[in-house]
Amino acid sequence: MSTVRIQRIAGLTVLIVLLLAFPLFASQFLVVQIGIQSLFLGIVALGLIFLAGYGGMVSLAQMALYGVSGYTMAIVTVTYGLPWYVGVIAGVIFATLLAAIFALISAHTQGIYFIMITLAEAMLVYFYADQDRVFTNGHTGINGVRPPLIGPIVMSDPTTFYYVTLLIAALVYLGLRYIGRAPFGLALQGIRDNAQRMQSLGFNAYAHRVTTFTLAGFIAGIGGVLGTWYDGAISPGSIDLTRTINILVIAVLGGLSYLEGAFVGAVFFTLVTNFASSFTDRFNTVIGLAFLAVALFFPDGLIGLSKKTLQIATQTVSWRGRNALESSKPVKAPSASKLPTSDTVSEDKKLMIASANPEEEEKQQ
Amino acid sequence: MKSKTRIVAQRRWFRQLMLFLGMLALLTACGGGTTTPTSGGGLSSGSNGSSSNEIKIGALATLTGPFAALGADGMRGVELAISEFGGQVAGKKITLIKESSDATPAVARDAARKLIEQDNVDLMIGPLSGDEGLAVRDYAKTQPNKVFLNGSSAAQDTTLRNSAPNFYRFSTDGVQWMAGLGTYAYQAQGHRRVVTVAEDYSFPYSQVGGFMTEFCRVGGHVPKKFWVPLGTTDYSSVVSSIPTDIDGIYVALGGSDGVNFLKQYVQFGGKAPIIGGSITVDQTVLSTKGTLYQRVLGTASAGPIADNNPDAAWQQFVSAYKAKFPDGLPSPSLFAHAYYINTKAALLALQQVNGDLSNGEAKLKVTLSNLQFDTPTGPVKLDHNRQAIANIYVTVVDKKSDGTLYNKLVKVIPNVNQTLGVPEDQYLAQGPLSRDNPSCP
Amino acid sequence: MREFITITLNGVTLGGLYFVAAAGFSLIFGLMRVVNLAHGSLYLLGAYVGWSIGDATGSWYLALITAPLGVAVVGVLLQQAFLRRIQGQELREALVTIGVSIIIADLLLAHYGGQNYEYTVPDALNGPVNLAILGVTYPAYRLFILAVALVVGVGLWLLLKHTRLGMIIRAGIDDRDMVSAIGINVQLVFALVFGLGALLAGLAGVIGGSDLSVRPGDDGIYLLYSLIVVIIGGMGSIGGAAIGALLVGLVSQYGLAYVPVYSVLITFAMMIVVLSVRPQGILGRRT
Repeated sequence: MSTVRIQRIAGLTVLIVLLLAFPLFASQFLVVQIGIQSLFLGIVALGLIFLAGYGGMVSLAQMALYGVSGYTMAIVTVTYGLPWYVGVIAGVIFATLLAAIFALISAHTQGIYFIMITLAEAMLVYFYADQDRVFTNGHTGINGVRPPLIGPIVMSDPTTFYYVTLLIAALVYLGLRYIGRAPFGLALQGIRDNAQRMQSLGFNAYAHRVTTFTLAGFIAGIGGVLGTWYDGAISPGSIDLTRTINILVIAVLGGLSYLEGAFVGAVFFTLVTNFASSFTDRFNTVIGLAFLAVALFFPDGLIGLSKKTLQIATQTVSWRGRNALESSKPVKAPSASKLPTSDTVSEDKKLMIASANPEEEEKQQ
Repeated sequence: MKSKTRIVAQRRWFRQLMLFLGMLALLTACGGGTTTPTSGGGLSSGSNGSSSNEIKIGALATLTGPFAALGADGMRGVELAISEFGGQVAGKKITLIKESSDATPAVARDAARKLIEQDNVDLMIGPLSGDEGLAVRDYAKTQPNKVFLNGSSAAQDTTLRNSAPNFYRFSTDGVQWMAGLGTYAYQAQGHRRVVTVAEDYSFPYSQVGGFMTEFCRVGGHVPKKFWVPLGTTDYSSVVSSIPTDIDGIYVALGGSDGVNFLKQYVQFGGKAPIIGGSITVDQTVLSTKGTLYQRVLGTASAGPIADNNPDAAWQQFVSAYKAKFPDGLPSPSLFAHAYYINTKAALLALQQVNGDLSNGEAKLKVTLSNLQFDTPTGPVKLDHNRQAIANIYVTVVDKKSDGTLYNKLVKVIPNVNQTLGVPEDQYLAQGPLSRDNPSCP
Repeated sequence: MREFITITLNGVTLGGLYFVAAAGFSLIFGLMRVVNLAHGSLYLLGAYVGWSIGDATGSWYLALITAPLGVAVVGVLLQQAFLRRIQGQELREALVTIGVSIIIADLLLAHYGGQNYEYTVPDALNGPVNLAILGVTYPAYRLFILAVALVVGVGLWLLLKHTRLGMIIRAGIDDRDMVSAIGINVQLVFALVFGLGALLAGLAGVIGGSDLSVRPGDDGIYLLYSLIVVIIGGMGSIGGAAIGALLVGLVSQYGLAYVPVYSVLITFAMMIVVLSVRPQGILGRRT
């Protein structure tokens, strides 16, 4: 076995052990406020990163879909008193359905227009939740949503909840990794890079985009169920403009090109918002500065930053191809002999962050 | 042979793992190693007791958003009560930890969670606003071993329906605050047809409901009710839609919303007199730097305080407030008052149990349930839902010799309870107060 | 009938305010393809700074003139410091402006606190005016807002159609590369336009804040409404901004008066419809 492979397995093992043992050595507050929160926020951000990184669509609608799922579940279980699994299924289905509807409307647009239309859709959901008295109970929201008893699993116990959330997060992450490498994911990336070319090859760009957006909505729905159980309630304040932007902040901070960025960004974000407020009231400025720094100097987010740091630190590693492949020049659309895999997609392509081509985008509209 | 692509991928993997491990290491360094047993109940961590020589009290108020000025005054009430006890109770030092919310339930809940679970306070006082109160009450149900006292939140259902056994409200609710006003508006001021303007959430429902219960009962009519989203700044369409055949507008808007509405109503040339909800012509509004002076003179209102109450206890409270807060309002608002009473209740109870917080604060809870004491506005005691029964004041806005505005006391309604004297099952049968309930067009 | 006229006037005057706020946003996007998501915080900055100047000097008119200028300076600084280096990368520019808006909003909160600020408007503009023609009494100040909007609209039209700078801007909106290819200092034009956009945002902040109070959170609201107006009316088009603003103002006021509960939704729904049917907006052009 090569050293790289040994390193990889060792590292992965340590990570898994740490994640599993986390509740044993960290305080309960950390497990709940940082651990669980990072996990379900990370799940929602995963959907965004998949959409943005693989699909080239930056959507601000993720939290709104989270809200749809959470509200549906709350209405079904609290207002109508139906069992928890009905609530969960209804919640996720509704979020997915609404995501599909949004996608059908928005998938024709691209780039900055797409961002704005998803923002409008998100605000639509928010204002509806804030105004409606029949279902969503307006500004007050719906309280009393209890994590259920799933057979022997006591979801209301923080440690149990942590493990269940961890499991779900791992499943979503692995699922997305697989999809990213499967033909669907490859086609999606091709569409991201050059939709016209893919169309001429026979791929339906619009259908791919709609499907991806719906998938991201499904994921947001899962996050919504977990988050609503975590809070024990849902209200318009959970899905307002600030929270909507927060998911984007998390994704960008972590690294919009990397799936893992969702969780790295979420951990960073929850750490700063929880602990910085002990030192300064201006923790929002801190987040804003970090966000600005990432957007200006480190478009690959924290993960990219760590990579660069390690690169500098391990200058002595002699491996011929290193410089060539890890250069930061954007590479044009792939030739047929070297289709991008999910692992290399970010090596080869700095995403639209670095190499947006506005003229081409406009022609495609 | 392995492709270069694969190897690059593996190296990248490794580096990401290092990053993640680094973050986890940071996490554990920050968090410390204390593990505490879970105490059943909801999804929230158990928390440590504080050290034996201090009592940690958490205070939550709206320090941002439309109610920021009100929240600031609420905090003053807390500080005033603590200073009355000299900063300590039952031989232990009081540590006050403040948290801020913005009138949304989500933020209030997060702030409460931070106080209870991260800062490990022994008891919590707050929140300020109606919807927040409902959220905190529900959170309290998941933390049965901690005592929660209200700040000034005044939605009725916080205690009347689905009350929490560890949530105590020594301040009166929005319905109670309206005791006497409907009758006064009808009989003393001659109002017959009034429209209502209020924000669309739980607390204003209580206010409008409380006013209309009396006003309709004595023969008044409310042909139209306007409900606006919280934080609305542009009332022009509301003002334009007010019918012309009315003789008064009952305005239950709070804080800056009330000021905005009044300003725009005046700008449109509106002439009808205003009847004020408890936070509409409250001190925070009367002291705003603006030009509504003439218009609010003579406005009737009702609430838990009256600025010029001649009672000695009230006068003493006002002097203490002014002495401690020269930069505060000219006279304490009902927010300072409510937070003060709830804090004082907590401190008195702590004194009585000699700081004993053992056994899930059991002794403290019993003491609080039975606590009766004299406040600056008369005696207070709790009903079976742990809701205060206290005096209410009907007031009219008047001006002092130095030109500042204040709420002049015109009538005291003693010992008002949550159902305004109606038998509880009959009151509950009317259903929760909402946009359409009650109604008397 | 009287009620209807008043509500229509409400819609028109509110549209005027939205127009002043959105015109700058539209210009910046049209010329530089930058979605300035810090636009709302520039509005808020203008509102707060205007209040401070008015409070310190006692002159509202002084605030009206100087606050927008201050915001214009801030805008140019922002553009030069942050946006210039990443020109052409739309998403990145948008992200940078988001970061800037978070920082500005937080710093304003730190300095001014969470409570409301009320402007002291001069008496000449305060109070109702009797519009004999229409038979209604209407607030003078709102008519003033409409007047300002008209002045801004006419001024921009004159600038764009009858000055050399305007010609360059219009050419730049149509084809930016060509403009720099024929030797015009595009960077300077960009800075000027960004400054102009910021100035309009600040002006909107002062006049909007004088009518309704200034508070944290206004930045998000006016950013959203500027987005909606410009999307409906068309990016880069001043006429489009005017049409969009008028539509949004009228729809929101009629909505508030006749279907109050869901009025906000109608406005957003309108935007989504336009975006899906005609993404470039009513008067926008597909470049």
